[in-house]
Amino acid sequence: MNKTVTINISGIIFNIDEGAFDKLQGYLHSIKQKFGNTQGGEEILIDIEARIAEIFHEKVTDRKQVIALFDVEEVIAIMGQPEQFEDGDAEANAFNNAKEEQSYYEPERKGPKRFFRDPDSKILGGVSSGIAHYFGVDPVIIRLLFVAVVFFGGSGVIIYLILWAITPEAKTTSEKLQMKGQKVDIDSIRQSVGKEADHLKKKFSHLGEKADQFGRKMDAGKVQGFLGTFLNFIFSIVKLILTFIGKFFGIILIIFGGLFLLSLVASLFGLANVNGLSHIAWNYNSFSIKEVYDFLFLTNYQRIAITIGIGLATGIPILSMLYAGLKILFNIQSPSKGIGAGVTLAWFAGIVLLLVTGLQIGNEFSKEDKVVSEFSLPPSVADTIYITADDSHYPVDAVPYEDNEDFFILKSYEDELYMTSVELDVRENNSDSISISVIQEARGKTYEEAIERAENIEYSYSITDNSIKFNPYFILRRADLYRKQSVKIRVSIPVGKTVYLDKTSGWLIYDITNTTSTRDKYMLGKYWTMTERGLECQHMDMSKEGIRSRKKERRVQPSSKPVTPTLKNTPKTTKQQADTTTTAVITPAEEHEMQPLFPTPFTIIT
Amino acid sequence: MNIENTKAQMRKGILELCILSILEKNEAYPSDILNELKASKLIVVEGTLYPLLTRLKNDGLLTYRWEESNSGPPRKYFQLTELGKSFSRELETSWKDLQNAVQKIRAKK
Repeated sequence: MNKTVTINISGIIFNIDEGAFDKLQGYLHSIKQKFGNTQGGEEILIDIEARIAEIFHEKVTDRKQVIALFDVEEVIAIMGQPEQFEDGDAEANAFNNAKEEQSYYEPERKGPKRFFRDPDSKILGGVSSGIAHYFGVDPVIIRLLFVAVVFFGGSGVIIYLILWAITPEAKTTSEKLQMKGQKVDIDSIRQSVGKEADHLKKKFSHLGEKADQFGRKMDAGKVQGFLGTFLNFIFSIVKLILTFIGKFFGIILIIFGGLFLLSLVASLFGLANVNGLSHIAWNYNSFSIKEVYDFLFLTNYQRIAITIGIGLATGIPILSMLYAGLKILFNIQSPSKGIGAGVTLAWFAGIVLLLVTGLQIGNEFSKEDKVVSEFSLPPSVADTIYITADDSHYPVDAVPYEDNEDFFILKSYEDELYMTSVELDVRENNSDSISISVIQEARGKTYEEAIERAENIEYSYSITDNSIKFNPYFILRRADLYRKQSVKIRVSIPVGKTVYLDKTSGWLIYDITNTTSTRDKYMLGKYWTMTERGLECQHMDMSKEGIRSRKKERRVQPSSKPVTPTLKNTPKTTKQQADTTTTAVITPAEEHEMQPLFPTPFTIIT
Repeated sequence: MNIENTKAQMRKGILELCILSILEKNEAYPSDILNELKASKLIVVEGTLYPLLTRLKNDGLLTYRWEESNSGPPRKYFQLTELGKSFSRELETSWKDLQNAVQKIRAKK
């Protein structure tokens, strides 16, 4: 048996349980508190009561004449708790919000800071966040520092582990407050606890919602529930890994971008001989780009243009690399579209500049011409000639052929360059004398330029009896600039004669055809006789007699005065005075290649 | 920032528009309005509705008349005034503008 109370809601009488009455009264009271003082509050209360009356009225039947507790609860659920009322009353809200904001902007009470590890924001052990709290910086910066230290020496790992071991974790609320430097008093503890409680409450309500949804699968066809949460979890792990990889990539970009930038700047300004970017000659010398410029380019304009071109075309991608790395790591904002377009344009301009100047320079190399000079040894001189090279300028430990590079600067002087683009070939000769032709080639914008450069090449060799010593280099005047100058030597041997390729000739020979297809390297130090089929290797008699007889052969002529014609091409007139006592038969030099604007080949005049 | 707070703020603005739109079609009781909102998946508790209706009425956008009911006390039957109608149309335009703006902003990402 229960006591009932008789009430009147909105002019209608209801009988209500005592317990239910208490609850109802409390509810109405709270509503009155919310709306009582606002504009039109009276009316709202009246409306709400009327609605409550309506609901109660539906519940009362003959069987059930009294409003029970659960009825009241149902009404409250329908009408909603006062906190759930989303009222559009802007003024009231502003007032409420102002109060909230006030507490938000209240300055944090400062207290003495202690160094703790932060268990709430930790990736490994919370060491970095602890440090970050202590110094008031972003944990990310500290973590980066750790990574950097790990890379440069690995001591970072040890430091981190030590810190991890000795630093206590901030477990209690007061410890956490001390870690952040907030004063430990009732208020801040309450705030802190309040925050934690909110956090937990949210987590639980979230769970509750999920459970709800899971329970009511039929509801509006939404089957999010458990599976969805699980998938979300997986996705967030994958996202975390990817983010991490992304950040790492960002670091790599920055490191490499910086390195490339440094080397680019250094090489462009000739500050250093940076291997890789500025290295153009192997083995013995390396030259900075600046020297290449001096040597290669005609005008200052071209030099500047190329520098700017390289700078833009390579510098901009490098800078973008750096920028991308920074953006990934520190999430700096993208610049305005204008800057992006401008930068791309600049890069493009750099490329165009390079192309145009490149074409101009290429033009300088377009016309090729040559100068040929010849010299013949009379047939009576010897059956075997010996080909050697003057290797005095090479370092002692240099190996002929092995270390031979085609485009190679042997020595570099103020206004002269010693270049090693000298190639020697051995061919069959139709006449019965051994002849040597020296072909000097060069390029230029016009044929006149090309010929002049070819003539300016200074090349020499010396003949001693039946042995010829060639220079493995030619001298190029800087004023002529590098325009693909080269020297080719053709030694033509009639059938039956033999040539010996001395070890030093390794600096000279280039792809000499022979019957056994022996590679140049293996041709050195052997005797080769010209036959109808081509050069054939002679297996020499290695006995004492054989060697002695060969030694004698090397000095067929008794006279010891060396013949040293140095072939120097002076413009147009190329006469040569040969100082020799040997009887030489003058054979008209064969004109191998005829070009227009070609000086007449010279002949030796005794 | 409390996300529930933000969500509530968003809904507050929209609620007025929805109520006005509903009443644009016909007059209705508060419980009818509520049902229609619920049918469109915009759930509000009744306690939210009454203050809002009262305010709108006080601002002159709505009027009501009493309707006798056999199942309880008399009920208010709301309808839009002329002012309310124009208000409703203006809000609708504003709503469309906002929709476009948000769409564009989100699409950029």
